[in-house]
Amino acid sequence: MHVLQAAYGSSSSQWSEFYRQEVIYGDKPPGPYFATGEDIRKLEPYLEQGMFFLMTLPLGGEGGVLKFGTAAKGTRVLAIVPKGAGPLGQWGETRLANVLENAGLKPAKPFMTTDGPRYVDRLVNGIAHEAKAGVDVGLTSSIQRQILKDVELIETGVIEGAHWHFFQGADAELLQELTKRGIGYTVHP
Amino acid sequence: MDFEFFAQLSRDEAESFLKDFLTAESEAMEGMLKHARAEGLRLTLGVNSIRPLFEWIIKKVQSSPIKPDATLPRWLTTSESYERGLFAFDEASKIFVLRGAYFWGASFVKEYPQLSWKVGDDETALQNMPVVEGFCKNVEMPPMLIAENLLRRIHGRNAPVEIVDTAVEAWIAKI
Repeated sequence: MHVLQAAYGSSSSQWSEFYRQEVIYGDKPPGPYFATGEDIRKLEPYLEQGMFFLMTLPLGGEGGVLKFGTAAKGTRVLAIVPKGAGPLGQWGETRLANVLENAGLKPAKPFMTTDGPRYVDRLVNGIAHEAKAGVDVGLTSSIQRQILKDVELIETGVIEGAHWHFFQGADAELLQELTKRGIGYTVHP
Repeated sequence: MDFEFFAQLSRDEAESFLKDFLTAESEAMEGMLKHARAEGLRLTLGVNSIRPLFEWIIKKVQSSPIKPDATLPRWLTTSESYERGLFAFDEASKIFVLRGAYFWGASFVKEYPQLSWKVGDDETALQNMPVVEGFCKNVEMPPMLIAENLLRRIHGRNAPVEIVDTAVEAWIAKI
């Protein structure tokens, strides 16, 4: 028997894996998994059979008291913890740690640097991907500032790295500057 | 880091996440330091211990390959930077990352009284994340993000562990 704790997450593929394991083995899952709202609906028949509890505990819990109930459709996230586990300790940490790693997104808001905000085109597995569609993009002062902002974010660990993409060419000077600063790039044909 | 998760939190939920993070990790810290001591590494909370701790953690973390995300554009997924990042820490390793993150932030807060934990600024990509404030130009330090990124670079991209020193020094320079 397991408790599903409303928390966070979005990986339907991981959920599918859990789903199969539960159905086939009826055994405890080897770790935390996550589900989207759609996947939660797949779980409903099993809820009726009493195989699971869905816990709608808000983030942070309430003094370690577990609340049980069914998740409403559209509930964002589930993480699985053993029945009876408190909100903190190893399982609590597991829940917290599940916010690590992410497939990728286009951040709507900037990273702040000492030289102002840096808007990232795409952030995937910690790498900030910068897309440049101009013709033979050169090393202008504006571009130089962008590079230095990326360097600051990399050096401070706020991003794992940066990779620039040029779709209509780039000046050799700019490419040399990126190389010098440890930023990867691709000049797409 | 799951930025979307944090973006969807209400301010109360974000405060609750921060509280949980600080409570859980401060409680777990002694156990981790004891574990390290048993393996010959004596650490006390402080910025000088961050690099040795990360060196110790990097020997513990394990990862497994992940498949490329088919929903991403091809121009992005064909880059070397993307391909080399196709791995994920296992669950036990994520706990180490989390503890490294707490140690990172708590070390700065302990040594520099002007720094403190808070929830990340709503107007930035760090919104609702646990961050440390008090740096110049209102730049916020996100220890969870930093620990994850540095450990990923060392583990998966063969970066030298000295990048931890570089990051620590860069943050000290912002105080």
